Amino acid sequence: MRFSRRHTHREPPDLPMTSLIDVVFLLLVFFIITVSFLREQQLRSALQTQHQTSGRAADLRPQVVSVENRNGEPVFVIGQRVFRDRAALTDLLRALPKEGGVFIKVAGDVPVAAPAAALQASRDAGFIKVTYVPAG
Amino acid sequence: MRFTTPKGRRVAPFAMTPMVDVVLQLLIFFMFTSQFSQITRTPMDLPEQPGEAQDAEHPAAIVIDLQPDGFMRVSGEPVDLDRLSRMVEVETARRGGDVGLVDVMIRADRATPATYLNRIAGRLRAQGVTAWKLASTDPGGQR
Repeated sequence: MRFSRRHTHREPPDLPMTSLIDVVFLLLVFFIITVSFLREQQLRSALQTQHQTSGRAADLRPQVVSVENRNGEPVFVIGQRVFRDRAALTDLLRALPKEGGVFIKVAGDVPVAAPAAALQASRDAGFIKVTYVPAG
Repeated sequence: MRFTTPKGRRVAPFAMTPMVDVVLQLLIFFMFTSQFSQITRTPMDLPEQPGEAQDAEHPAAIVIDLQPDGFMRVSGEPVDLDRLSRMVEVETARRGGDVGLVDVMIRADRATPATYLNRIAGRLRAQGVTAWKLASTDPGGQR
């Protein structure tokens, strides 16, 4: 019996392995980085200390949102109204006059996530002038 | 006159693999350099808010990493409030003495007590800094 190949004259294709591995590796790195990369955003605000917020009768009156800790939970306070979530705060802020801007008064015993939510709510509600006021 | 190509000379084959290689290299290079300031930052659990896009072409002059225990880092180096004040002075001098042009970004862990943030705010305001930016991550912004 003969088991010899039929086409003994055919040459194997010339595959450039080094370049191929190079490209595959680059694709791998590209997808790993683009998938795991979280884009950072920013929340802009003006800065003001608490003693600077009083005695400016000539200015338009700003809205004041206090970020406080009540029973171990951060809350947003406007006048007598207390909010626990950003959406409710945004809804109320939308209804308020925006000419004077908004002051975010932040107590020291709340996590940073809370003032960040108040800043976001102010922007979402359409306030252009948003001021961060440290209060403790 | 002969206008035909000499016999036996072959047209060089167009090498696709190295070309794709180079194009990918260039793509990755431009992607990285345009957002390099963000890639080099320390990974932190920032507040999850959509915020607005950071200006990749004009990154903040001073980027402060604030950890939950109040520990601060600027460009990977530990700093206290006095050192931060000196950095603001240097940046102010670089901008012709106008402290209003000093751009400060705070990258605070979302669990950090705001008292640490308030201390930085108080110090910056005392130096004449009138605005800052608080870094956040867009919860739906993963690409």
